[in-house]
Amino acid sequence: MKKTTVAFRAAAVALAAAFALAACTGPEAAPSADSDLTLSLYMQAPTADLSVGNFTGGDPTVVFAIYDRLVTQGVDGKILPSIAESWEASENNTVLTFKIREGQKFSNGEKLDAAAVVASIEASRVGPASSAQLGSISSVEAPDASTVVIRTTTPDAGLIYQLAAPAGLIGAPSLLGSEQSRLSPIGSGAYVLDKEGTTVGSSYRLSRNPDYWDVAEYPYATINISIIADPTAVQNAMKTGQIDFALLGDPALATQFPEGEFTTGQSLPAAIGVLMLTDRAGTVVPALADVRVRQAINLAIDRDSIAEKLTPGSGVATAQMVSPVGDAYDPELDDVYSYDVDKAKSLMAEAGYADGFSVTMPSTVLSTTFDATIAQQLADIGITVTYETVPFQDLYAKLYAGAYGMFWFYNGYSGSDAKDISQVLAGSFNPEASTTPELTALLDAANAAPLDEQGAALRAVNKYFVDEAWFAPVNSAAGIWVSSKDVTYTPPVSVGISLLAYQPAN
Amino acid sequence: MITYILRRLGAGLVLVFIVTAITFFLVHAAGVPVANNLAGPQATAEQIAAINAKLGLDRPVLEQYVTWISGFFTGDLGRSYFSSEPVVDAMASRLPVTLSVVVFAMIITLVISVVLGVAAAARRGPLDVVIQTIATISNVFPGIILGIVLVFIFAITLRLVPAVGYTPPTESVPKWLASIVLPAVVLSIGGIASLSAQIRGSMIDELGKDYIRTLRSRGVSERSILLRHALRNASGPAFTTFSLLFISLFGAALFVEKIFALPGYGTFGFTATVQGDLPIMLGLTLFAVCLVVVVNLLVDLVSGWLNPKARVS
Repeated sequence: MKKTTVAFRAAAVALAAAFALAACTGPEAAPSADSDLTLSLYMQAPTADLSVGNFTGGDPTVVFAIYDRLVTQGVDGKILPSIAESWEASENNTVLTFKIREGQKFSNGEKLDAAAVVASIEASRVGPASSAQLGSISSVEAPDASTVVIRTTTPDAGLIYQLAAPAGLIGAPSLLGSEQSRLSPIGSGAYVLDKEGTTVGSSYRLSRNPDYWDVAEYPYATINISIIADPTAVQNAMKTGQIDFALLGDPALATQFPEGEFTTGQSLPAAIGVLMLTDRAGTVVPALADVRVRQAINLAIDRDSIAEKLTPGSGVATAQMVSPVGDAYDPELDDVYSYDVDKAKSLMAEAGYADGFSVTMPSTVLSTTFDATIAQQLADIGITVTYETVPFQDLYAKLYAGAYGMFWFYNGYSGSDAKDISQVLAGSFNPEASTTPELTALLDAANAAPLDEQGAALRAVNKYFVDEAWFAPVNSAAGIWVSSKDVTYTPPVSVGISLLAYQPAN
Repeated sequence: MITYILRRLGAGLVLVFIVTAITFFLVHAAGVPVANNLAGPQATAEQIAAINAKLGLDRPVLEQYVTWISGFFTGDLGRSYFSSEPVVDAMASRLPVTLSVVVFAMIITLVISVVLGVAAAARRGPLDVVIQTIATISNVFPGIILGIVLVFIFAITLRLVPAVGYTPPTESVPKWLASIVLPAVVLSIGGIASLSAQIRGSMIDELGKDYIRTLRSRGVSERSILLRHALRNASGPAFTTFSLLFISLFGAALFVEKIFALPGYGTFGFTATVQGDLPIMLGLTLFAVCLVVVVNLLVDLVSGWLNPKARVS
């Protein structure tokens, strides 16, 4: 049987050789020269269509790197000049006038002037992904090569933030609406897409645009972005140095990254976990039309207990829809609905629902952690919850159709109170287009307020939401981040809002 | 022979039409709201309608199918609803990843299975028991656990190979090998168990036959008996198992691609299925049917070459 022994050895040698050859490489070390810095990021969601007017969602890091906008948001959420070196709003916020920075061009060499900006915004106004976001615009004009004037039908406080968002991408005029720009986007941003190093939906490689007007602020010559579906794979990639940065959901994971090798920290609040009480007309669940019932639901939810036991370290109890780091947030409003079952029962009785009522809610991947607890706490005031399992891919359509009177959702903060408030009044979050004269008046006032006074005006809208219990917010979610020692990370107010969040440690 | 091959390929083409048509109409029947998912929860009715129109989803289902079939004949399988990437390009960029891992896994499976199967059949006794035990354990041992263990040892602790990702061979052959060696080893475990058991059984049958005794009586070396005579005659059923394994590994590739974050066929197909990305699903179905047809045809042809008695007239 010498022969089989030889065969065994041959097999072992073959495998060992494979490992040995593979081991000649090992994970790549980070480049040391400042001029050749590479940043490797982990991004959660695959990026969709990259063309102007068609970016339908996902992490905006890639499109923001490729496309500049009239204005951008800094890591703190403040509006910063970009293609426009300055801008001003008319007294009632219906005319925005932008002064275009001289000497800019797109990465394919096309001139970036006022006419190019107008062409992109017009494309976005009819783009399937951006038309609603720019719906308040009535006209976009370029009276001269360095001026863009945007007029709106009604004041729109969120418009300046929409122009800093994917709805405001400015792309090369010759490619607007073309098939080519869907996968080979041309903008004037700090980076250009390296097609050779990109596998759509899996990995993206960005190379620094030397002609970018503010190129000095972007130290990385190359940015590699990996889309990794498996959380364990993300952690492994971090541990082996294949990526420099990752957002991790569970704070307990921080212990896996020793302080000597990694930097970890708490992200800013990224999303609101909320029981959406959308059926304010009582179409599906008649009881929800009564504000006392909605207030009772808010009082019946033990937010502190949920935060402590279900989302330890990553969820902070809140009764407000706006971000705790935004200007519209009012800490005192979080005490309005302190857990009080007796008061909740009393309100239910006042509303004529002393015996409670039944409600069907969707159970999704977003809600499973909370389903049992929410059902139990609502049962304490007589509300019987029946869960219907809904695959996430079917959820939006069902919500949009108004299939449920209330449901659990995690909605990401955008970095703008105005946008966050308008978003929760749209689409699936407001299928009945609920509104009241009081709310309309508050929104009108906020929309007409100058940028520096919008915080106070939006705080009034936020207070209305709380007082009228339009929602039952539960917790504000924030995970942890981990980076290599080569990177200094400043947590931004919204995920992917700015590449300036990443800087070399030195 | 040529007529036989053409007839089989013709039957395969019919199969392609049937399976893709079933896929098309089943996915439509499932009614995944693609436009809603693309537009997000805050979308307006106008945005959803605009996306449906852009993707052609507002047209009658039959018309959409005719469009797809027409494109099939011109080599245009459409674009992904979600990434806008042409289906052919998307598959072309991902198949090399899965093929690399699957082919490497098949090589590992073949080498180790032949060694184990032949050794177990030839030696029997304690070695046979040990090998069978190893094969049984490897058959029930979850590949995902093995993957995690191997990543911890070879990637995180020893830093010999990357934990995630794929490097194409055009960029660097050593890096390519480094990126596929662990996934291939993990993928091969189940196959080794079944193939080595198949080879062992067939070898034991062959070694018990009269011609083996005759060969031994003529003084033919044991190596020649094992490898040139018994193994060749035992290889027919093993080859069939091996070939079917090739097909099944494409499905099994999903979990290794997930563990190792490889941008391959499995994760691509899984994501497309969850999203309801019909053009991608149809492209992958088309590929899968072609793979089955071609592999089965090759199995029949090679089986005929290995064993003339199996040849069709």
